[in-house]
Amino acid sequence: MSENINPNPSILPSPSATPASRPLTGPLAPPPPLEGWRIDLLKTFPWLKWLVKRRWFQFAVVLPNLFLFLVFLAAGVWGTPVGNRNILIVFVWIFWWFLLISAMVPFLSRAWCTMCPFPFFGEWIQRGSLTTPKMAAPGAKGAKVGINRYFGWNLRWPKALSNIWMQNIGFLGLCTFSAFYLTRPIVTVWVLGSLIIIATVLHVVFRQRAFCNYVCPVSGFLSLYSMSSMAEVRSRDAEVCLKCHDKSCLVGSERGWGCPWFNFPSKMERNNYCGMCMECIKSCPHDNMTVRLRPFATDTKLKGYDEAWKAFIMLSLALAYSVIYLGPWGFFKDLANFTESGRGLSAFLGYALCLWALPMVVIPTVFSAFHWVARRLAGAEPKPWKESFLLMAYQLVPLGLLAWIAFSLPLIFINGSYILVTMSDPFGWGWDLFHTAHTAWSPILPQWMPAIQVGILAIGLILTLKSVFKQAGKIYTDNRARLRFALPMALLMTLIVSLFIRLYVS
Amino acid sequence: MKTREWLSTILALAAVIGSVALPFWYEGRRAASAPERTITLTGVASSGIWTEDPVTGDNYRKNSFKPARIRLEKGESVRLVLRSADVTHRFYMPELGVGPVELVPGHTEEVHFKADREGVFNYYCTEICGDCHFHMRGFLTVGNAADPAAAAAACDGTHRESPPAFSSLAEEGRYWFESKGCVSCHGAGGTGGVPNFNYARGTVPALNTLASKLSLESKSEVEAFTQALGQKEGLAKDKPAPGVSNWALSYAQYQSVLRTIQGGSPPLKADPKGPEPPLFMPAWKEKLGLDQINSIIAYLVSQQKFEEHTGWGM
Repeated sequence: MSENINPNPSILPSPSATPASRPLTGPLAPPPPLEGWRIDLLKTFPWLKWLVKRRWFQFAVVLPNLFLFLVFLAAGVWGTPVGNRNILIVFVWIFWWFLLISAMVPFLSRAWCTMCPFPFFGEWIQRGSLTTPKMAAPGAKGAKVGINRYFGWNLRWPKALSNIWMQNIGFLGLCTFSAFYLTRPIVTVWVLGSLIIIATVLHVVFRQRAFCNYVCPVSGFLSLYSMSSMAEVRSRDAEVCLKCHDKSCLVGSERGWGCPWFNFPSKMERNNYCGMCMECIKSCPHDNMTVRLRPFATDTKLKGYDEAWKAFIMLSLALAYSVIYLGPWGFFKDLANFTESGRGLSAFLGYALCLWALPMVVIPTVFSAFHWVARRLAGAEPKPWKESFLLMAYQLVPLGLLAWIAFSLPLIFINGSYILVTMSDPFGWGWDLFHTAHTAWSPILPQWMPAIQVGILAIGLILTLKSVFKQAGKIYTDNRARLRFALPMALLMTLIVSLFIRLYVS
Repeated sequence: MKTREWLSTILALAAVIGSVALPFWYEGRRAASAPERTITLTGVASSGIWTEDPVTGDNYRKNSFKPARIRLEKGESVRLVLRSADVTHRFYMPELGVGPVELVPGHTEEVHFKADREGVFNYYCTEICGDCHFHMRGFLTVGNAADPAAAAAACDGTHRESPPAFSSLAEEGRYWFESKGCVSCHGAGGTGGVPNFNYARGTVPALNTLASKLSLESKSEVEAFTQALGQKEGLAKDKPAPGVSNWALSYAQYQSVLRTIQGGSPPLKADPKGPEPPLFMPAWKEKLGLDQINSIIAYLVSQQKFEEHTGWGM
């Protein structure tokens, strides 16, 4: 279980409770000292502070996104069934994916969650408001969470499911059928439409953003890779938070809703479960919450096996997709897309079994074997298995993110011209809105692609190796033991990167 | 505060409704603003037809569509919206100066023309687009010109299944002749007559006189030749078919026909500076085996009409 998520938002205090009496997810202690540099963006850019403090800020970024998203869904239903000529497929699976994994996550953390249209309707119903926080007045209708008032049932999310296993399974499940929805707009409509419906229902039934925290398959990998991001929402001064009696960031106020992500923002030390909605910045009476710029890959602690397996899943899928979609082996693509290729259901089931076995069994087993060897080599007084396992599994986070960027680059560079075409003719109905509808397919720098991919993977490897040795120091104080522990893990990371490079270069 | 909330609610509702309504409004406005009559034609390779029926989503996989029947008034201006349901096609209507227009699946092309003369005008797909490609021919009629006989039936995909059992070689030949689309250009029974723009002979040659070209002078000679064609070892120069009077010539002509079917033949242009004729004889050697080609030859020679000799007349 990832401890940063408060599984029981119901235990949020009443306004009269004292901070000391609040049974939060851990002791109300100041977060550990910061590693690396920080730039307080809200101090540096006052206009940004002004912007994020507006009550309409999130609505203003969601609204255009929602509109475009619904237009894309309409294109999926009524537009051309040809994937690369339908804006839904091109913008969601090529443009959005590339933007998300290559720009938003590394630089803006979970900024996508700020503007995500999936929970829009659910949150609207749940809050009964689009921009203005509702206060729970005595006798008012609606459930009370903190001091804000909510509509719907506001049930507690089951404790047994308060982890990201559902997201892991959901993401892997979706990826199993990727060949179907990546090529067929109508299937993409079903997938995305279902996510909106599930999000809406869960917002009505459960408290706050239970869907985003525990169910949304996109949110799962965003939570993992946002650890590497260069942006963070944090408190400026821990002392101010300690002395604060309002705890508005948690319980809400008339300036902002209590954290919908079940975080206690003032003691947040990782990006994983912060959806960057900026409510804490608005609600803090001491102006103590801010957005900061920081070095890449600053959060370095996985807190549960669910997060470790998410890292295995993401890395495995980057590897599998590189083989299926970028590799020269049409056989694999045929298996994935069995209805189109004429391969039987049993062939697809075999493919699905392999796709699931790789991240759930094969890679974790190989990783565990290397980890076991590393511990044996290092010898005396190791920390518990779980602790060192999670510290090392973290190495797959920046490595996985860069592997995904390397995988996604060709998507945009090779297929980018389809973006221009579908911008002008989103439904394939013969429009030419921006006079780019007849742009010929023209890949950008295809001859340089392997070199760029190798460069990205090399950066990933350097960062990872550096981190392996640094993290090994948290397990073994003795330099010799630290080195002996780190070497097998470094070898594993190098082997993984070599495998990717071999795939891309050969 | 209340104003902001109301405004947000209105904007949210506008986004939801507008996201669906706007595209349809724009499309409707676009169609309404076109001064000409709009005709939408979609090429469906799997059925080998051009259709005016709506082809949406994946319905081309399971639905059958009616071939387009277009009749225009003389002098009428037309906005022709061209689409492909499945694979790349190339629309060409040479006599009215339309095309060739490449039709990439999922993309819509528009051409404009004026039906300034009466007649029947053929249009074709000039991009080999699949097993039913040779069926992809249609026509439009301008003015009071009479509709021509219906074009060959749409490709129904039966050729993709295993062929039925045949009672004779000629019957098998008819099956391949029709299912492979030869019938689309050469006409039912090989009667020919399909117009081919800028082709030296004007229309696709008839094949129902093939027996004469093979120097087969009578029905009995055709039967003897067909019997020899149906033998396992096929025809051989040094094994004359009993009953064929001029075997050497028949065999040489047969070889020539075989070469044309297997290797194809480019059409001779009427105007050397003009465009390529849209119809041409493709090479069939990769698509048809020797046995199948022999069966087609057997079918075509069986179509020859011989005058019955009574013994007194000529």
